[in-house]
Amino acid sequence: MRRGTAEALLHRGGYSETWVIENSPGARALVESVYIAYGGGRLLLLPNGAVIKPSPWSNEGECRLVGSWSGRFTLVSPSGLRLCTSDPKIMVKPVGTPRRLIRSGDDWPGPSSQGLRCRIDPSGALFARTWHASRWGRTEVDFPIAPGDVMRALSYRLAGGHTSGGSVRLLEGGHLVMPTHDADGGLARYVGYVSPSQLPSISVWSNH
Amino acid sequence: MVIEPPLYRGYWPSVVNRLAKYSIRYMTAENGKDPNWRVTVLYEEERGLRFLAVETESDDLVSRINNVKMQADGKSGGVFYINEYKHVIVPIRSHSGNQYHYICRWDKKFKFPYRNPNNEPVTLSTCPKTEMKPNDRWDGPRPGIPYTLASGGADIYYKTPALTETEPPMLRERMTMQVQLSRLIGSAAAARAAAPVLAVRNAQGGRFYVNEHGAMFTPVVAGDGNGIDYKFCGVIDRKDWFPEPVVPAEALSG
Repeated sequence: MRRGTAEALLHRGGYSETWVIENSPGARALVESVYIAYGGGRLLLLPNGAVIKPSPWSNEGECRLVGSWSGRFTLVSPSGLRLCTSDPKIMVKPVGTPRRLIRSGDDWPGPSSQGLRCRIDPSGALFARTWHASRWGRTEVDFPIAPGDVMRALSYRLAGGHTSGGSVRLLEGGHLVMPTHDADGGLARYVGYVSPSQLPSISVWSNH
Repeated sequence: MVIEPPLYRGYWPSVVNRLAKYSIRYMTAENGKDPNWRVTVLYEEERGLRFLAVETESDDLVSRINNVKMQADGKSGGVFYINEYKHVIVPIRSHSGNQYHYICRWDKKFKFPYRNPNNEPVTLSTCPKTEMKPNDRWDGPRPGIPYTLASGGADIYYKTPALTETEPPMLRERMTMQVQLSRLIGSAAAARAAAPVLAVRNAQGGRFYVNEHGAMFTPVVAGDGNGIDYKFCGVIDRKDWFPEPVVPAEALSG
């Protein structure tokens, strides 16, 4: 969050685009409350409705659950393109083909840097990583957020993922993408959709 | 019956360039004779990559590693590492990825006979020559343990799976430790340890390797802009370094 808006960056071909959350009463309330409490900074929206804020005053990996969200979530590009990431069905129009539903392996049409960084294992299970400071540096713990799923594992492979698994991003609406350019939010390929009902509830999440 | 050696309590160097590992391979000596299981290293020469076999007497080491590999994988040969504490560690495949086991301490210097592109016999070593200075090109074999110079250039860290405090140690599933030198020996000492690498790289940080002689070398963009060169950064100062991990008492020493 900066300049009083919530935004996500898309790096494409050497330049970056700033996509912003579509203006709505909910988006304004989110921006205002976080801006007043924290003055801006990174914000993570999870498909289960959790709004998480990494604490800017902590260097020990502390994150705070600052609220919840529901309803439609739409990102708007600088040129006015709209992408409703809370919609389970995303339409795309790859070059030379008619408009159709997005498939595993397609380029993700929007930014992905705002998503939760996860690891997918060969069974298709998803793990997020949490960390806390320790006497030797930090301890990182992977905790499961979605069970193994043959279709998800296959989709990951179709998207070009490695047989031993790898890094993916879970976006706010439940879409799973695989970064292909750089870890900080470059281009991404579509893997699949994870229904929010498959994910742990906010209460489970906040124990980690 | 070979008893499985304990998990190593130190750093497990996963995801390493294949030139950064030793391996046991069945091959002949440099003269093309006497095929046997030997300690080898993959070496990058101008003509490409080739395995070099060690000429140093190392039958005990080969036999000990092969026994462990045979018991775990059902076949001899495979990768191993020797770190800056001269600990020999071997990755063994398990359901949760490679697990690193301590084999022994190895004090001998490996020497690799080699014919250079002019067909002249030379001996390569992983021990830095006394006349080497920081920023000199590292032309020798490159087995080593990867460390990361932290962004800012004032700290060094590595990541390794967490183990239990029990004896023998066990793997703590899904838990990783990021071990920062500054946390162990203080910020000033860590900055001193990092300075030689910072001088060759830059404050963005990045990967460098430390071999069994404590020599540090790091990949940088080659002077002509094509490819990667490895530059020597100096030798670690052991009083400003990660403490030596506890290992079991043993019988074999090189």
